[in-house]
Amino acid sequence: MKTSMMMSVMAALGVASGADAGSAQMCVMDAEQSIAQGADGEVVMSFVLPEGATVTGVVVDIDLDHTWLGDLVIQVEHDGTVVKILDRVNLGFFPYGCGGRDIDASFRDDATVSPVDLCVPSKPDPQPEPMLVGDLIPAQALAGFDGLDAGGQWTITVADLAANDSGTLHTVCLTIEYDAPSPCVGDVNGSGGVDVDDLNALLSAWGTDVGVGSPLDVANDDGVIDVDDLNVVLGAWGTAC
Amino acid sequence: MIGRWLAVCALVVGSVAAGSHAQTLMTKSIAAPPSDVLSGVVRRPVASTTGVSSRCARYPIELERGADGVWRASVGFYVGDPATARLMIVSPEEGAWEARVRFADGDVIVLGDGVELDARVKRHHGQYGIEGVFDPATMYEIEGASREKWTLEVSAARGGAGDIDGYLLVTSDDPVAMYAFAAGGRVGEPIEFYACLYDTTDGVHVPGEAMPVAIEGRLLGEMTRFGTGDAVDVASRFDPAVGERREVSGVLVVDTPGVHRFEARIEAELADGRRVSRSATVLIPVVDARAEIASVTPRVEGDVVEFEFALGGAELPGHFRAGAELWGRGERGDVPIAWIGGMVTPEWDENGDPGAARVSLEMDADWIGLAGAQGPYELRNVRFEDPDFYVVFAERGRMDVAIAPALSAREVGGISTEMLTGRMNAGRAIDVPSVAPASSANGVESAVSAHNIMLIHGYCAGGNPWPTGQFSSPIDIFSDPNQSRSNDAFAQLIGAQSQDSKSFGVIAHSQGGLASLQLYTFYWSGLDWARGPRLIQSVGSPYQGTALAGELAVLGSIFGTGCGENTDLTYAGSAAWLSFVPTWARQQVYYHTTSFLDEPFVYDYCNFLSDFFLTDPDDGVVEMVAGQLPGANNMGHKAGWCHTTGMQDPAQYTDTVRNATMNANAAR
Repeated sequence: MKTSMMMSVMAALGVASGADAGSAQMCVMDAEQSIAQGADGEVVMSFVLPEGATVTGVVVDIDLDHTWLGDLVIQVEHDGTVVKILDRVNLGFFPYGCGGRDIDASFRDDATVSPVDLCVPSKPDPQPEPMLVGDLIPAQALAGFDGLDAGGQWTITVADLAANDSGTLHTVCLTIEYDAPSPCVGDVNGSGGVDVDDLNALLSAWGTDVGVGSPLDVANDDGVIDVDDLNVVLGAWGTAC
Repeated sequence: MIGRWLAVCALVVGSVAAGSHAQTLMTKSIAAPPSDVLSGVVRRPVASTTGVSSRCARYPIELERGADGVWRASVGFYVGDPATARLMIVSPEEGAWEARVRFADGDVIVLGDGVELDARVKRHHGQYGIEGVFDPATMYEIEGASREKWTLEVSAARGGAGDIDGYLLVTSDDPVAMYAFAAGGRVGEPIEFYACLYDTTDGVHVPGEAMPVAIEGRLLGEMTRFGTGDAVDVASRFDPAVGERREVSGVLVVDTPGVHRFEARIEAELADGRRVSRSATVLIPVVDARAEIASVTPRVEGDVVEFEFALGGAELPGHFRAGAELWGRGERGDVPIAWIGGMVTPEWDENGDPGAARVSLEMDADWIGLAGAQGPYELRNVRFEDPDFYVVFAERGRMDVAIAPALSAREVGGISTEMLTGRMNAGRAIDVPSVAPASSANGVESAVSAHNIMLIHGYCAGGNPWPTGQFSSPIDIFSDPNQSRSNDAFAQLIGAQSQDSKSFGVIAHSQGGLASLQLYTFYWSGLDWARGPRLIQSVGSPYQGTALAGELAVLGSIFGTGCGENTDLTYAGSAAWLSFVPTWARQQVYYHTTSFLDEPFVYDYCNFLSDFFLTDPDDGVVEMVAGQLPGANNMGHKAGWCHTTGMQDPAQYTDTVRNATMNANAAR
């Protein structure tokens, strides 16, 4: 079963030349996907980000129920790169790994707590549920995505590699931090400079309703090409981006 | 660890693929709260309180060939109460013997299968043994005969096949019993032994209680014998002192490790003129491990305090039990902080002194914060013990330890699991036998990686005794047929055979209960992940030992059957074993005891031979009193059920009602 979600994210525009930092978060709530051996839970998210945006950080929030966390491998795939954030936790200490249940946690590289440390039996007390909570160190560093093009498809997969236990994937949130090149203000035709071609393009649409989001509507995104837009182009006249 | 110290076992094991056969078990760093220290739960028991009581006497029958070619033996004895005398002749040749009892006044009662019995005699044919190993025996009830000396006369066409052709067992309802004990020890060092007669009118000695007071009387005869399983006599090495009271005591020194036997028999005339014979067999475990505890160095790393012991002159097993109490200063004097212990592995000085080694115990620093105790701190009752025989081979009464006082200021809400067991990922690896998982070992289809109930048999069982159809799938069936193992070796096999189980709860018979508790206490396993009301359920488990542990091996040896001695199942062995099992572990055990149905005015028993050695009520192997596990959950006693098949009442593991209850409540 696969849940897909498209989301377009516009980063805040920078005010100076050079790169601009931004972040985008996408969540799939109520995914309610079954997790069992041979039936992976999978969420696909497509991010539309400023052209040229590159990844500087990734955080994955997961909320799932499962009766044997040691069965699970959770991985994030993007642009051919795969990072495992949970990998049969405690398998090195017990043949079937961690026997705890449920996750409501945030996997991030700056966390200080390892799932290995949380995944311990609590007898004679009842096992805490969920067993994995809070900010957790991923099995592999999410920094493995750094430098990749941030936009496009991201896939989070929850695989169950052993029999007799199962669960449900409830929620996945993916937060992507990125750097994007500063936009070229006034370059309405994307030529890499502000010149007479930009002016002509603007004048040819003068007074018309071009709709919100048009690259021609550079001043205030009010859908109308008017003197405000003209002033932006003239103010940036001769700029090479 | 510092480079030049060589770990015998790797401290960290690699991943073990699910479903594969484990080669190691990870140890727990166990601890117990001050209440267990103060109540004595984790204190080494005093040997004199864990002796064996016996209200019977065992005599060897040693046939000698006469000039006429007939083999004969004669055994003199006293029965105590002649109105309730019971004799048993135990020999594979007993059916071919002619036997009679001659009394002091010349009266004779002829015994045997082919003769018409005297009206005073009742004959019972039966068998004795444990689990699936039974041997034939004949028991005679004899009423109203002389209270003077009796003599059993045996004649046979052949004999002398071994050192001993058979045994005569003698008992009656006379309340006099023998109490005997011997401490385990080390090769070449003195081992104390003691035996006396005492009066059981006010009760039979219960393991753990102070030793009974010897009664007065005139000594008529005494035998003290030592030997290994082959009955090698080392009597020349001891010097018993026989006092005014009917006591035998002294010191034994042996040259070889292993299980030795102390056999004592006293014949005495009591103040009222009664004459009794009583004997007892005590198993003496002897080890050759040794070490001097030179120093201890505490280190605090994060939340863990490590106590590293430096040992000198060490000859050590691959792993062993180590334990100590940590004490500090409270407002009103010295206070215990915790008892710490576990299975440890020595690390050897690979370049230096061959006898230099180090072992470590780890403790959660929260224990110090919880106690709020200030320094100076000290370890008390430090003891290192053999993992199978529990013989202390190194100990120190007190050792000062310098621990940062700041630890006492830690704010601790209560006792956490980590404080009791350490962390799963911080354990040490102990090599265990490589065995097939339980399912494949039994040809039973159980789900791999499942949450199982594991059915576990006991000492010397021929196989699984449990009716598997009475338990819900998935189940695993433990199998280690016809073996005598220590609780630790047994536990390691359970751990190794449990590899089909992600988690499991236990339903165990007899020693299987002890071994399961051993596994849960000292090692990480699927037991730690099991969910459900009852983790370890047991029936007929001798948590405090059984008097049969030594006797059955002796009697079985003349048939070449049985599985041999098991020191863990003696009163002394089980008490020593339990002294490393904290209350938190015992609380996971739910145990049941049973006994024969005792009808009025009828001589009832589960097994007529074991009844010679056990105190009623018993199930033919385990006395109700010794089947108790202090700190655990007593699920009740039920009459009408015996330990195994082949006994007077049905086998306790076939009780459909109990099995249904255990099945419904089993953790998995």
